[in-house]
Amino acid sequence: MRMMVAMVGLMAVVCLNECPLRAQPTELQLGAAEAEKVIDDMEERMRGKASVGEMEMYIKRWDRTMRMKFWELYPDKSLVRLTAPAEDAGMGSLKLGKDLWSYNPKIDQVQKIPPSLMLDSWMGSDFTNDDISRSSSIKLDYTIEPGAGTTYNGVESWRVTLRPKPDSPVVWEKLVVEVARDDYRPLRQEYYDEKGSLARIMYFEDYRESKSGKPYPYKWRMENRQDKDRYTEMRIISMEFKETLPKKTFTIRSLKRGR
Amino acid sequence: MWHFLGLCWRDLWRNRRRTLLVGFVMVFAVSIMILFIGMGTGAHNLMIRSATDSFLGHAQIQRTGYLEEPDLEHQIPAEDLARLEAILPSEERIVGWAPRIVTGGLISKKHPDPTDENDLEAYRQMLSEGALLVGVQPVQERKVSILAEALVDDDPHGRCLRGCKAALAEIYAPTNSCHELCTGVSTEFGGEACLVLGEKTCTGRCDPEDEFCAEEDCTERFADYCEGARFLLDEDPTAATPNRSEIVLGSTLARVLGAGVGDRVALTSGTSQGRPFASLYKVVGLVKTGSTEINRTFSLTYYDKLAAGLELPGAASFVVLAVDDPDAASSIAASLNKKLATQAPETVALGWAELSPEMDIFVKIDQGSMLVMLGLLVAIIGVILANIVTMSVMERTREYGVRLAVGESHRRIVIGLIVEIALLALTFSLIGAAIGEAGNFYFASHPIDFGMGEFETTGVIIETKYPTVPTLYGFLFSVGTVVFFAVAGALYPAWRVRKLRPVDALRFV
Repeated sequence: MRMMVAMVGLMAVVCLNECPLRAQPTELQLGAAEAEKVIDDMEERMRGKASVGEMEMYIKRWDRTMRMKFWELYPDKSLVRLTAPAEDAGMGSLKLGKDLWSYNPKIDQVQKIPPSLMLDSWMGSDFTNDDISRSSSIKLDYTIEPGAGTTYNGVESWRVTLRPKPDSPVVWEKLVVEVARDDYRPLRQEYYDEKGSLARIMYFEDYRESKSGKPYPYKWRMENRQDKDRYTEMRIISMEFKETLPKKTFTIRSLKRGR
Repeated sequence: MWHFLGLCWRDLWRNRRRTLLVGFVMVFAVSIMILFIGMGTGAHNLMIRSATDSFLGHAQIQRTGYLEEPDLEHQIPAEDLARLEAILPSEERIVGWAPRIVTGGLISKKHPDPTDENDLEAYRQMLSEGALLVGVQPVQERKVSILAEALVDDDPHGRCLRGCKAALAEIYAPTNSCHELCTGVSTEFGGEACLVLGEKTCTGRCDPEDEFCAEEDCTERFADYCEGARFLLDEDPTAATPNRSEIVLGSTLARVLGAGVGDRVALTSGTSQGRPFASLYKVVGLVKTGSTEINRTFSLTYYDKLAAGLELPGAASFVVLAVDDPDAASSIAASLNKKLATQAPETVALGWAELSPEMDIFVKIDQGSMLVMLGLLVAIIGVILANIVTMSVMERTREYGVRLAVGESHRRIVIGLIVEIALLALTFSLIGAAIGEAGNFYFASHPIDFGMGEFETTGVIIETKYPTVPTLYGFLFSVGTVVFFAVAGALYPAWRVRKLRPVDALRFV
């Protein structure tokens, strides 16, 4: 689940005018240093040292559900393998550092995803290769600006804006992260494109206790705001935080042959 | 009348030197204008051809919205394509048409796995590129584009070397003997001789105890390289294998991937239903066109199999049209749209100017500058010619005085004067036209090389070697211009002659 944890680092949530429970800004302000701490706490809360689990990914655009297993080792290793539908079973993605490979058993070929295709869809979903391969810490690529207090769906939260560092290889003009004030769980994350338009929103929902006792969002929903009928929902079926995972889990051999 | 014309003609040659001098200017003016127009037309046609013949086509029929969103959701459905196939043969101005299906994907050269699968560095060095996979019908494609003719020449020695290395890599054998094996490979490398060389290359390489080393795999792999470069065949020879096919790569893409004829490449993409699509292809040829985009990103394969693989059997991304006059492509498309509106209402025909507005603007700018230069040329020629004619007629004032003195009427002299100039202009213009058109015909087959290599605009490489084009309008315009300015130059002296008194004329110096 490190891959998802990595995404948390980037993901934010937003509500537009049509959203029934729109966030209401309040007078509360958060300085840059405090905002940074909020983001640190959020990341710390979402991440473990390693995680293993199984999830389902529903892609609205294609009305298609895929089932996959995942293994993640902090900070930058992850492996995802499709288990259903049967015709796609065995396909997978391996992330090692900044490198991302995909494997398709139909042609028995490992392909490295080049930088030019990082914004392409990952497995036909509304997630991009960039989401999957990005560093797990948001602070590496973004500068954290002072935040403000707000409420979202009745939950008091902090709304923090992040802007790319000058030389960061990121495609978003800014991210806005909304984090619950009480336990720093991420609520939603907004992605703004280079024109400043809201491009995507990620919602973190259905918080449950994982096997390790840590509350974790069991539903991640990425909405494409530029095409209203498109979203991808990741539902976690099982999830376990671990102290570590064997290094051999994250090899091309594992990608090709399973563990 | 013929008698009068004969008199005028004889009159012209009474002062042969004067007539020839004026005539030379006319010959020069007409031939230069005809060559200039021929060159301008040639450059114009070259630009349009460079943009349209490689891939764009003179016109296209697309599903409405495809131009803005060229994805698999905006395809011409199979039933509409069938209707188009019924309509197009009856269109007189459409000389060829071909359906294409296009999708983007990730392409990489197929490598055998590294000996050590944990050798991450080997996997990090893997090259993958974004590519445009284009499904074409080779028979139809030849009628609308030069893709089949843009094949890069075969390189038998390189093919042998790649084959040897790829074959030996199948059995993880060292490849250092390949250079020696491929020495002396002839331009005819292929067929039985190639297969024999494959046997020779692979035999005795495997340890008999090694059950995973199969020399047959090696020889089979070598056999892939035993066929010279070619375009896709009229029929797909691998039609029965859904995840394998043949492919022709853009020359730059092949270079970037390190792939050549005989190599295998893997392409992954998504189908129209969002499912993964993956296929292995054998590279059968490389194309190099005037379009950097084609050379850098295109890969061509068989239409039917690709359409089926993308879950769009019988559908097309667009239909490319070749028309009898590329300049009229937009009007032909507009007239075709009237039929499409009733028979395939979700489709639209677009001329190349609509498909590539940037190229249209560039062509118009080029045309505009050519017109300005032609205007300047006409103005310079006109002023010089009118002056020369005026002077040459004025020089004959004493002659007109004598003719008036012996009783010839003013009217007859004026008409004679103008007819003489018109005859002179027409005669020498025709000689000039003959020289100009001869030059045009010569430079049509021996393009004028401006020595500036080539330049790129809107993704299209345009050479600065312009073939000229002989045209009727170039001929008529040039001859007409010279006759017009010559006669115009004669009008002032003719007006003076109307009032000329013999006594004044005889005193004229």
